[in-house]
Amino acid sequence: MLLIKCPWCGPRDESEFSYGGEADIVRPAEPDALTDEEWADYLFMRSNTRGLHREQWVHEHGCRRWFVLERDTVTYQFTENAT
Amino acid sequence: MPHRPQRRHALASFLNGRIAPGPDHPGMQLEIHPDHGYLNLRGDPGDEQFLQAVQATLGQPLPTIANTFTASTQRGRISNPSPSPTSSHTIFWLGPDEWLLVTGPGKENGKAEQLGKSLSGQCHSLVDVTGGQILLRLRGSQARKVLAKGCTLDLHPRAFKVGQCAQTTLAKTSMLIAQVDNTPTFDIIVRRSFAEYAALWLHYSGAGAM
Ligand SMILES: [Zn+2]
Repeated sequence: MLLIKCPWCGPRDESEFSYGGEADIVRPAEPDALTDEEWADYLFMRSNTRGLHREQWVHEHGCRRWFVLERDTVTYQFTENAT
Repeated sequence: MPHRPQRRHALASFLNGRIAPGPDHPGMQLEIHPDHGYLNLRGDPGDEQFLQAVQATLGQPLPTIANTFTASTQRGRISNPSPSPTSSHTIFWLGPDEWLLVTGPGKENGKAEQLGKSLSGQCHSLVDVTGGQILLRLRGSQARKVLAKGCTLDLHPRAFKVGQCAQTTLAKTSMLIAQVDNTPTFDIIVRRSFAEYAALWLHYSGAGAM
C-alpha cells in the first residue's frame, strides 16, 4: 500500500486516492486540424516509462483535488518535492 | 397550527428503538443527530472581500488551514442537536476553496438566504446539501480505538487533535471525521444513504472493542 502525499492534506493511505495516468499531456488546441494518427496519439498513446514518471492523482475520498506527483515505476518511491 | 411535514431520515430504525442506539457503555456511546442543516460553500480564500462577507454574515471566520474547522460557540463543539432559536453552526474545511457549513436543525434556509445576499455579485457557489448527510457522534475513552479499526487515518492524539477534521474512509465509506473535544468526542458526517451501514458498523465494532 502506498502512502501518498496530498499537497493539501498531507500523507494519506492509497485507498483514498484514484490514479489519473501520465501527467503533462496537453489537449491539442485545434483537434480538427489533426490527422487521425495525431489524434489517436493524443488520446491513447502513453510513454509507459520505466523509472521516474510524472503522473496525476486525485484525492477522491479527501479534498477531491487533482495534483501531479513524480514516482519511480520500478521502486514505487515518490520523489519528494518534485515540481 | 399550520401543518409542517415531518422529516424522516435514513436512521429511523435506530431511533424507533428497533436497534438500540448504543452500545451504551462508558467506553463508547454512539449518538445520531439527523436534523442538522448542511450548506456547501465554494469561493476564493485569497479574496479578502469574500472572506469578510462570510465572516460578517456568520460571525466566525472560514477555516483556511487545511483539515480544520471553526465553531461559532465553544471551540470545536457542534451546536446542540435539540432545536433552539440560538442554534449555532460549524464550518469545516473541505478543500482549498470549499467548505461545509453545518447549521442547527432547520436553520439552513435562513443561513443560505443571508449568505446569498451578502455574497451577491461575488464569485461563489452555495448549495444546500441538507438532504444528503447525517451526523453521527461517537464519544468515550474507546472511541479512537473503534475508529482506528476501520480507518487508515493517523488518529494518534499527536496527529489528530481537537479542532481538526479529515475527509477519509471508514470501513470503505467516505465520511468527514472531526474531533470536537478531549473525551474524546468525534463528529462523523456521512452520506445519508451510507448512514445506516456506518452506524451499524460503529455499533458492532464498538461492542467488540469493549
Ligand atoms: Zn487532499
